Amino acid sequence: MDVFQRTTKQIAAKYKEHLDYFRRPHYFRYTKIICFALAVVGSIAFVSFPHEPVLFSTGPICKNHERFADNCEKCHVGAKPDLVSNVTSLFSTAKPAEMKAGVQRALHASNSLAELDQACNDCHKGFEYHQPQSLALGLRPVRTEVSGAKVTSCSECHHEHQGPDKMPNPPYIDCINCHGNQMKLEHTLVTFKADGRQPPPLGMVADFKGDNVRRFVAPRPSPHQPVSFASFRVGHPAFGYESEGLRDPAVLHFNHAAHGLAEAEQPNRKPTTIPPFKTPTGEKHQLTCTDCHKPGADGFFMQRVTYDEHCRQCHSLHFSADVPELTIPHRDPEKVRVAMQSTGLTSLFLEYAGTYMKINDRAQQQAFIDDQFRKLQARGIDTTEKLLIRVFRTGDPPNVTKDQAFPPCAKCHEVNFPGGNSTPKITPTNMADRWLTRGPFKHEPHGHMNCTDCHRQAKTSSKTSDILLPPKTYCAECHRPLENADHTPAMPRQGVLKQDPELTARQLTEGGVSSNCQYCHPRYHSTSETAVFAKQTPLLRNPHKP
Amino acid sequence: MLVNRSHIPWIIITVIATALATALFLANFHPATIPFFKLPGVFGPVPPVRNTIGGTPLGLLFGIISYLIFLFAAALGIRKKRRTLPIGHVQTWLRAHIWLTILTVPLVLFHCGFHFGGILTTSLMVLYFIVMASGLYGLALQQFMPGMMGRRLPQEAVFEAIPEVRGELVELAEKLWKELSPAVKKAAPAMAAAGSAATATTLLPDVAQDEELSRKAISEFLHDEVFPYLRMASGRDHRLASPRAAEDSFRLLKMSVTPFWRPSVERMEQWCYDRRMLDVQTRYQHWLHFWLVVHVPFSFILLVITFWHAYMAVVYLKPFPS
Repeated sequence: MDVFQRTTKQIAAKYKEHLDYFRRPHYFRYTKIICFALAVVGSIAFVSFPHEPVLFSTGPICKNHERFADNCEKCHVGAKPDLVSNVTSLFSTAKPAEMKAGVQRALHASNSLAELDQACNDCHKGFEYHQPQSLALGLRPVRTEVSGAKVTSCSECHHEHQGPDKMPNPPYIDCINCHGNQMKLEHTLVTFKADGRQPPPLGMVADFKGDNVRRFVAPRPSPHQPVSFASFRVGHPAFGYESEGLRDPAVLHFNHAAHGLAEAEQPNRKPTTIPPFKTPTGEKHQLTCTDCHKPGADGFFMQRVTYDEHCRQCHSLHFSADVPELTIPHRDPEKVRVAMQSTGLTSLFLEYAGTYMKINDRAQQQAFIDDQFRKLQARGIDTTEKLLIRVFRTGDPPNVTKDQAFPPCAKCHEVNFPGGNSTPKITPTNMADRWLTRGPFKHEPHGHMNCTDCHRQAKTSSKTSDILLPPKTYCAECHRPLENADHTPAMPRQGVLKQDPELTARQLTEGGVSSNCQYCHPRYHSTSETAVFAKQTPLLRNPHKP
Repeated sequence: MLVNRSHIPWIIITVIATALATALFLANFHPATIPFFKLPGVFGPVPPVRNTIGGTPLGLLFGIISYLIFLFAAALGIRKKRRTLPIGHVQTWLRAHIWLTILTVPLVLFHCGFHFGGILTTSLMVLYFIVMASGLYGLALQQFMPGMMGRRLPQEAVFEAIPEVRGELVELAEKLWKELSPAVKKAAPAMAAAGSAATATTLLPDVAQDEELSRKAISEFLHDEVFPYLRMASGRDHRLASPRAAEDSFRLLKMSVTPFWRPSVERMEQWCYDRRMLDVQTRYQHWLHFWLVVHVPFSFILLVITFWHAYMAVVYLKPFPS
């Protein structure tokens, strides 16, 4: 309320002499005008001058491309960040039709990356086709064709300007974008010829890479059309060795069930058929899976099972209990045949007498040798032929005491007798070192589990031809999203390899272990496998389209 | 502009448009969250195959719509200048300006995918936030400041005439200063006669001396307090800027002057009161309108840099024909 009551006339009198106030400069009005003028001039001047391209970069360039981090035109071909010259050239040289076409191309720029991709292919030759990962490409010696994909753009999966580190592999969601879309898989399929040979219908084991690793390879129908899937659990193809009719082609008579497992690992199972054996230190030890199956030196896969390291302790090729250190040579049939001849045996016994019995007297040595031959005769072995038959084929008959008996080669191996005095032929065991061919596998993260949690068939398998690797469905019991998204995934503590049945049961029930593609299919391309298709013409561009 | 019931239709439109934009964004970039809503094929594969949001068809749509809204918002200044143009009521334009620019908040965030990107795009987002913040600040002020000014400033002056009105107050004070000497001389003989007559028969106060003292007090006060206050560019720091201090000062002054001089004191008090009100009004006007000094220039800069951003984004994907 006005303290001093004034009439309207009195109030109006204030302005009597100042009715043209709006014509006089007022600081507020001029401040606004000046600020606006500065903004106009400043902003237009700023955008008109050329600037460093880094101003327009959306993020640091990766380490792989840091050589030309300051040369944006290496990839963004023809891109000149000079607004004034670009706009003037557009309006001064372009015809209306060209201008319209340029604007239309600009509007569709978000859907067309042809020029950017061409820049990628200028250096990464041959990668206009999406190629399988290097491990899959390594199977070319056992394939007659290899599938690729004609993709729309490199940057669909390979994202630059994400940071200064090495460009990471595409995230798994990029894989699912294609591998989850059957139409896309069919329309983009490209097939290239490979100079390999298809495995037989039952599968084969071969060292086809020349790295002394024997791999099991299943046959694959040709032409091969990848099938889409939603996730590892839902629709992901079965592992190669799961196909019906496949057999483990190892030539070895081996019975997993007969070897049994430690009662501690299977508390509900009947006592094992194999009694505990004595270790070199004299302790009693019950046979377990890990007595034979040991992880590789780098933690991946398993070491090769060999007779010398894993079987000899139980399946000793000792000649007799009287000469326990004397063993029949393993692996070389010719060596065995020579050693089992009279002269060979004599040399062996003589060497044994000197080395182990410390018999240096010639007469005593001879007596020792004669004694051994007599014992052989007492076992019914009085000719070289009989000895060879027992060594290679039959072993000792039941009336010979257990301590005396030695197992024949044929107990475990396939022995072929060509006839006459020829050396018997032992078929190579050809056991597979690798069953998974498209990704590495480490047992260590599974240390909290029991072997038979995954290799369930091993408990009852009695045939060598049984493939005891777990099917994909077993893996997917844990490697899937959590049943209840609110829960925390049950994970073992890092570095702890103690078996934990409770944790295992939780994982089997709830899932929650990573099922990303990159988890099992890492290392997309190795330098040795780059640009496999660089110089090849596709055999079939798309078998599903004329 | 007051946000009242007449804004309800605009609020509804903005909310619906935001919901639709959100649904489109989720359906395109996070389809798992909204599985029942399928986008038309014109928006391309879902989710988009490229690791960008702004460059996808939907992202571009958000960006283009936002820029068109920016242009429309900038056109408000022209519309206000050309009030006679038959293109809708200015009030309607103002409501559209407010609510459409609020709508650009989700559109811009969806266009950039909640990422600020590189140097240029980050700068652009900062500019955008300055413009939006200043605009919303101004809008908030406009809800209560005019009412507050109406209550606290019963005699609000024309803002641009305030310097002249203040000058008028100074002139009046100077006029009083001149009046002080002749008034005393005219009154002195009469007062002296009245005084001498009184002393002949009864005991009376010394009127002439009181008048002189009053004149002196008023002169001193006028010279020491009123003139400096009225002439100050900003009277905020002066003692008379405080209503209570001014009231006390003038009450004391009134008590120390004769009744003859009290109207002059009251006039001085009125001038100081007017000056105080003018200062308050100036301060309020600054609050109410100064945000425009930030909002308008930055809006123009935003328009230019946004165009530059759009142009450069296209250049680095697909250059113009040379």
